[in-house]
Amino acid sequence: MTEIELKNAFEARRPALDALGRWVTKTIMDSLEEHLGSKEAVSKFLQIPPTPRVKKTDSFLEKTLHRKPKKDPLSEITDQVGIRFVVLLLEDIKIIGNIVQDGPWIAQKDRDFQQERLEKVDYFAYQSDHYVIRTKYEMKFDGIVIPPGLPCEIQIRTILQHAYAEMAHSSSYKPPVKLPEEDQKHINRSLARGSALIETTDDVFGEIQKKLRDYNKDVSSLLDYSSEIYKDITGESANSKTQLGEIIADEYRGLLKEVTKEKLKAWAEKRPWLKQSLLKERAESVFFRDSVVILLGFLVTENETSIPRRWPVDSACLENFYNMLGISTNELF
Amino acid sequence: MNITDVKIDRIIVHEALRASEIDLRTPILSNYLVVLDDQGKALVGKRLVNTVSSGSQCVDVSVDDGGKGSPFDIATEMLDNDEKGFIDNSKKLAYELSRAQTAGPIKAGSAIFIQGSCFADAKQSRFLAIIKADSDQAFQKHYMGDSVTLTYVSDMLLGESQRLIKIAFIIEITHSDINPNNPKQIDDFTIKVFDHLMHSSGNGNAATYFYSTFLRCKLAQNASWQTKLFYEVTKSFIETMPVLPEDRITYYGDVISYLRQNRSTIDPRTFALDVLPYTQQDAFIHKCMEANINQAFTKDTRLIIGKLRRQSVRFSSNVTLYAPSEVFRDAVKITGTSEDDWTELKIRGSIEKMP
Repeated sequence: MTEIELKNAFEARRPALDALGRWVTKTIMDSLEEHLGSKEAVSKFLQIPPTPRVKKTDSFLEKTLHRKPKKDPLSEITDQVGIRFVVLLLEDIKIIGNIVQDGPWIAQKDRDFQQERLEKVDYFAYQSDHYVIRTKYEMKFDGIVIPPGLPCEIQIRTILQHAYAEMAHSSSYKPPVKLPEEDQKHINRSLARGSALIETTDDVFGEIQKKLRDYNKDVSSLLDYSSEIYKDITGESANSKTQLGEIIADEYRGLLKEVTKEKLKAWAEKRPWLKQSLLKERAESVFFRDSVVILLGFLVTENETSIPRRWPVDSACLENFYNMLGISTNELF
Repeated sequence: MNITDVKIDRIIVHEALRASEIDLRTPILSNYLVVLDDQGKALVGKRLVNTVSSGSQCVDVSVDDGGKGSPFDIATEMLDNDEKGFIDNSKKLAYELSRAQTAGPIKAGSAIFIQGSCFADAKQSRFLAIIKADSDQAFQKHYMGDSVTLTYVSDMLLGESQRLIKIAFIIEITHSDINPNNPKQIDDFTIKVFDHLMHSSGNGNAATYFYSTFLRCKLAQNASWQTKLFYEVTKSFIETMPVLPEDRITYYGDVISYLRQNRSTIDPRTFALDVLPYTQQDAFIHKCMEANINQAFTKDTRLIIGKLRRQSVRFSSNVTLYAPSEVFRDAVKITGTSEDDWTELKIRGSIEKMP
């Protein structure tokens, strides 16, 4: 195939590549939302919004003809359309990786940086997970026909790996000018040091996250359970894992040791008026729409004098809460 | 008793004069129910919960006269009255309240009648609240552009201060009679009264007229038994408190002086806040709740009078030290313990005799 024929063929498939990129992005974003629980959680999880990009024609041709010769470039070049997912932590990469591997396409892992680390133990360079997916059969997205076997490359990396990749991309991978060999060696050495530092920092961030999660595990599971009880009682979804909920739970962390799921459940079951009261109050205030009210209700019942002493937010809502629970605020506020 | 989900159905307000004023003029008795918006009803509900629910200082009273035409009979009839009957009966009771307001310090004010429903300890119940409210003076704030102005309000009711209200909260615990025209049974109701004057003795008729002269109720008869129970719960709590032995003696002394104080009622929360270290207050309140003491009760020390008269400490060597409790606190100090199991004491005064 001549360069002109190849150019025309690539140009002809651009709309299909564009549609493929958007379909894959949407499919992964939908699965992420299901996994993380909300659109807000997804946008917090992804450090940069993913945007599918179809390769520029010249860039495709250059790759085909000069950099890496191919027999059937239209099939063999896998990054004709690419999507990049940038996450905060190493462990987050796995979440998207699993979604990609379970997606409605044929997926293949092209680069596995964890594997590469083990294979090249004294080599520090670009790190990222790359998947290539191909459509299983002909399909339509947004009215555009996507042929079977069309490839799309998905890159998944941490924000630190991304910073390194952007830096290396401009200075080494595609140098704008040819440097003297000695200078290039120095730059390569510095890049390797940068990569090693980033690998170390990513690991350190992972450790911090794990410690925080272990510390927060009990609080988090009590808040989750409060949320379930709230839904069971009122039939309405509560705001859960909010900053308000975490501020309150954190303030009374010392009292949470005594709280179990069973105790929370029994507490709620003994209060048949809770449904009506919560439904009434939730229309008035965001405080009563937060699942933390279940956990807090239990804590107030057990610790009526100490809760107001350390109450971390506006005390008017706590007074209303005591009132809802039928506990006099006399001498406490 | 835990009062929750208070719903207000009807409210009416009348004037309550002093008895001596009735001869001079007739009190203003309203012919119309008060219309309150949701916020107003919520505030009334809040005041009720704060004065009569768990942790409040209200006490239970029992009906002394529940016969035909008695305040109990009229008040409970009001639960089933149509609007006219409700208004008429409330007027009768408001007039009775004015007639009962004879003692010196009692002020004229308002008689407020509130009918509604609530959950009383998780059971849906009807209630009638009768409030004698003294008027308060305050200012209403207005924002005018970039300035704030105040308007004097001379007749404000149901403010935050509990010193300005007396309340009888009559709850229908059992709805046993399906015929609303039959007289109500006393046993089907619990009556809670709050009047801050009841907490300290020495207020005479001013402290008793509301529940006694007006409502014809009497203090619950199990007061001595409840006081004894409170004493026992408190003593056993202090025995297990994680404090030094000498501090335990001090706390025990505090309990005795608290019970000997010139007060007519006791409530676990006030006791905890006044006497115990704050780390132990909730545990104590919890302990009281387990023993079914979750609100104030009338103090009657006749069953524990001996225990309050004298405080003692027994040592492991079988030595026991006794002193009148009012002396013990200031005249006995435990200053330390030695490794060879001796306790050092300081006792005020010199050796006088060996009886």
